[in-house]
Amino acid sequence: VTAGTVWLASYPKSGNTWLRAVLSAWLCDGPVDLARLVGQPIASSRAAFDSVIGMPSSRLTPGEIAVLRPRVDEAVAVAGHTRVRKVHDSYAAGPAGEPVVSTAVTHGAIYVVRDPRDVAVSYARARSWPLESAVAHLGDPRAEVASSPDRLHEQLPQRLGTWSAHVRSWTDETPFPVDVVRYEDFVAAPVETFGRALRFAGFDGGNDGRLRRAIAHASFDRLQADERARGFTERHPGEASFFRRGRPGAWRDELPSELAARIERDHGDVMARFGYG
Amino acid sequence: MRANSARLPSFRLAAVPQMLEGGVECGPLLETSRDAVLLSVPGVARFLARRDGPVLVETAPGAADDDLLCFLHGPVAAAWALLRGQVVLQAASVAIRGRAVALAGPSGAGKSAVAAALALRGHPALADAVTTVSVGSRWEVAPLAPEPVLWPDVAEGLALSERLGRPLRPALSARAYRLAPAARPAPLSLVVVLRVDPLARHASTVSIEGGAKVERLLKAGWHRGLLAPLGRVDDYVAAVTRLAAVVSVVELRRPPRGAAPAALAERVENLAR
Repeated sequence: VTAGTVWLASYPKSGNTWLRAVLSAWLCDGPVDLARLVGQPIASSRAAFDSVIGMPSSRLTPGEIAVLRPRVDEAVAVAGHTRVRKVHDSYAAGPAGEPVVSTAVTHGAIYVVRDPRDVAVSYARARSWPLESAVAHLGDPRAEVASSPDRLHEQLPQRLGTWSAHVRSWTDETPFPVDVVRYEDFVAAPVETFGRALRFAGFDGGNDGRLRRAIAHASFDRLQADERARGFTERHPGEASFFRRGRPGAWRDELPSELAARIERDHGDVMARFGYG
Repeated sequence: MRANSARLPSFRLAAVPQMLEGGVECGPLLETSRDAVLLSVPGVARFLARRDGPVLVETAPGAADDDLLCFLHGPVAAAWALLRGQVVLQAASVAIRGRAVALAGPSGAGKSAVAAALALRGHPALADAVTTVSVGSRWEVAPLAPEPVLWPDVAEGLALSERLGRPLRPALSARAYRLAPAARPAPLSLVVVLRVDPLARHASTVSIEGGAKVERLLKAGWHRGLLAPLGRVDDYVAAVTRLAAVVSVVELRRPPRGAAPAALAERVENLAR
């Protein structure tokens, strides 16, 4: 097992949780417990930050928090062990000039990229937004999560930027290795794609049987049924169900053509690079 | 160890060293030795709390008075109280019929909101972020920066005009609200641990009993990472074990949405009966 933090990175609604579910099932070689998915604490966890800093982050400004976050990563990392953590922030450097996660303790990142037209639909459903708002969010260079100044958010503020800039930040700009995986490949060729991600993270993905069982345990239908039966604490308040549809290309029957065209206009270059024609 | 129930540390502007002699790091902002805690907040100030004497403060250029007070009355006061042998909870507190009720829980659990709702029901606030408890027979909570600090959405939910609030720090929209007359020191009788449960449908309470009580009180403690370098692990655990014998501990669980602070305040009032 490789020592260091392995980031499970993605723009929101891109399959990060599915990757965590498969990894969780693989690690325990058993069914997925949605309450105990690997990858916590998320990089933007307020609770983890507060416990490392030793005071409530509610008393700190967004700028002060941004400067301290890499230092918190260093405290959360366990020397000599692999720590798998989820992250939705853009990797791009913040106001203080340092990237969002600590390079010093990072082994690498698995970056999950998904067709932005499907991301937009999923995002809109998760937040109960009109589709237009989700499409605008994907194209907004100032897009952030948990950042509105009028309330205390459960998580720390996260900068996303545009979908294209997010993808570029994690695939072109990191000083550490990144395994870039397409959500669509998880669906089409799960054993090969999840297996490669596992090996990248330093876990021995050689045993296909164990991996096949993990993929079955973390099938979309099972996760959806589990969520219905027992709930999912990571669901956004107000979100009807986290595991909603998951089928690649679902945008074709949910996204009006003018909005699809806008995404293609805004993100054409990066989409072409990942085969999203 | 001496028990001292002085309310707030006095402070003096002075040069503060960059590092603490014999100190160990407790996270990126804190350094601690047996006798002192150094808090360095870039852009605001360096604070040196010592077992004896006033807190020394070296301000950074451009820091506002409110910035300084926010830290002085929060993490610095907590460190100061730990240095002086007290039990320190990450909790808001109010006085209900002359007895202190602490509202513990992580950031975002609703401590200040419930404290504000209780203040609006006539129960004076004792503390907002840091509850200090004197160790001895009275287990007294002394007033410490008691005004509940509320974010605009919570203030609006409580129908509080933002004009009533004092800005906490220039860069934050949270404000501190004085909602009831100042409280006098009061013995701690109840600790309510607030917990947001995403799977809960309604608010509910569970009484914590036995050994779990000590565990919950320790967990509610202010930055437990400070205890070892301060050399306080044994006496602190012993104090909390004695405290657990004289206070009630109740977990108040609620869903993320739909549990109004006023309704939770009424529950806390009933628990305090």
